Amino acid sequence: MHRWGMVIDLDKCTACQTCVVACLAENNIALIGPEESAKGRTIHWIELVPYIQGEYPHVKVRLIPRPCMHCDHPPCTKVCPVYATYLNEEGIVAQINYRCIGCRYCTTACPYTVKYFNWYEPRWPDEMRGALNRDVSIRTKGVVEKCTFCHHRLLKAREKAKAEGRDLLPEDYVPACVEACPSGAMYFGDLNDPFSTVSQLSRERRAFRLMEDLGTEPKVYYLSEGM
Amino acid sequence: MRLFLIGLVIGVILVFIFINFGLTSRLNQPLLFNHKIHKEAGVECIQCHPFFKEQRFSGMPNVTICIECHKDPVTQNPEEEKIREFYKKGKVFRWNRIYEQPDHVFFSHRRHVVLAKMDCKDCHGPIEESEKPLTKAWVKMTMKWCMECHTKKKASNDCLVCHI
Repeated sequence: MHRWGMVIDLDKCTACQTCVVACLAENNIALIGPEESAKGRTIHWIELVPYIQGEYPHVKVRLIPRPCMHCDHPPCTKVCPVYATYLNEEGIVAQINYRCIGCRYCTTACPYTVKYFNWYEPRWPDEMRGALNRDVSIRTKGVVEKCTFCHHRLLKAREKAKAEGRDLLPEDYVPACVEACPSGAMYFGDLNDPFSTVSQLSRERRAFRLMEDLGTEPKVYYLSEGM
Repeated sequence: MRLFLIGLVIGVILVFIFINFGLTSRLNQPLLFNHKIHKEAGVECIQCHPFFKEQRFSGMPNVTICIECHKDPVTQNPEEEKIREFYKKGKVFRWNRIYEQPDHVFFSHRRHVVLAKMDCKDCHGPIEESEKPLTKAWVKMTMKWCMECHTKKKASNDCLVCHI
C-alpha cells in the first residue's frame, strides 16, 4: 500500500509561485475578484505563507509553500459530521465536495488553515471557459474544498499503468505543483518505499514538518538549513 | 372560501397535467436508430462508439461514421435517407444523452471495459436488442447500484475512486 507524501526543499525554493498558478489551473479553482479577496475569501489549495524572522531593521522574510499537509492524524476529519472528509487508505485526506454540507467545522479545526469554504458560486473570466480541467469537478457554493494531491492524476496514472500491464512507477503520479516547480524544489512519492526520493529526504538532517508538536503527523516535509 | 376552493381545484388540475406531461414526455432523437438490425448485420459496438477502450467516454456516432456504410441505400427505410440528407447539408446529429454521469462523478469506460473486462450490457442492459431509440434509461445508474457491483467484484469503494 502506498503512502503518498511530499517534500519541499526551502533552500531551493525561490518563492516564484509557479506551484500556486499550476494548482489554480489544474484544479479549477475559482477566481473571486479583488473585493471578495479583501475579505479573506480567496481559495488557494497551495499558498505561500510568509515567515518573518528577526526584528527591524534585521528582518528576514521567507515564503513557505503550504499545500494540505495530508496529516496521518488529521484534526479536520474527526469533526466532519457527514464523512465528507476522511483519511483514505493511501494517506490522502479526501474531501468529497458533493457530500459536504458546508458546516465549516473542518476549516476551523485545521491548524494549517488549508481548507477553504466556497462563499460564492465559482466564476471564471469568459476567456478561461475552455481552459477548465475536465477531470476535476467544479465545486458549488457552500462546500469546503482543499488540496487532494491531484488525486485525479493518480486515477489516470493507475489506469494507464494497468492498461500497459505494468506497476505504477514513481514518475507516473506527480501533482501539478510538483510538476510545475521550475527550481526542482518539490518532490513527491511514496513514503512507505524506503528507497523513494521523498522517503530518503524525509529522513534527512534538514527535514522538519510544520507544527510538529500538535501530533498531526503531516506527510508534507520541509527541508531547510537552520530553521 | 370560494376563491380558495377554486384555487385548490386549479392547483390539483395543474399538478395532474405536470405529472402526466412528465410521464409521457419522450426523448426525441434525430434518427430512429435500430440497435438490433445493426447488431444482426454484424456491426460491433466499437465501430460506432469508438472510444470506450481508450477513453473515459465511449463516443456517439456522427454522420461521418454512419455515411461510411450508408453512402448508397442499404434498405428501403426512409430513416436511412435522413443520414444522406444530414451529410449533404453538412449538419451533425444532436443525440439526446440518456446516460450521463454528473460532474462530480469520475467514470472511465476504459477502466471498466478494458481493465475490469466488463461487457457493455453489464451497465447498459440488452441495448443491442432495442429496435427503437430508448425513451428513458433502462438502467438506473445510482450510486448504490455502482457500489453494489464494486462490492461484488471486490473493486474499491473508497469515495475518492469516483468522486474528485
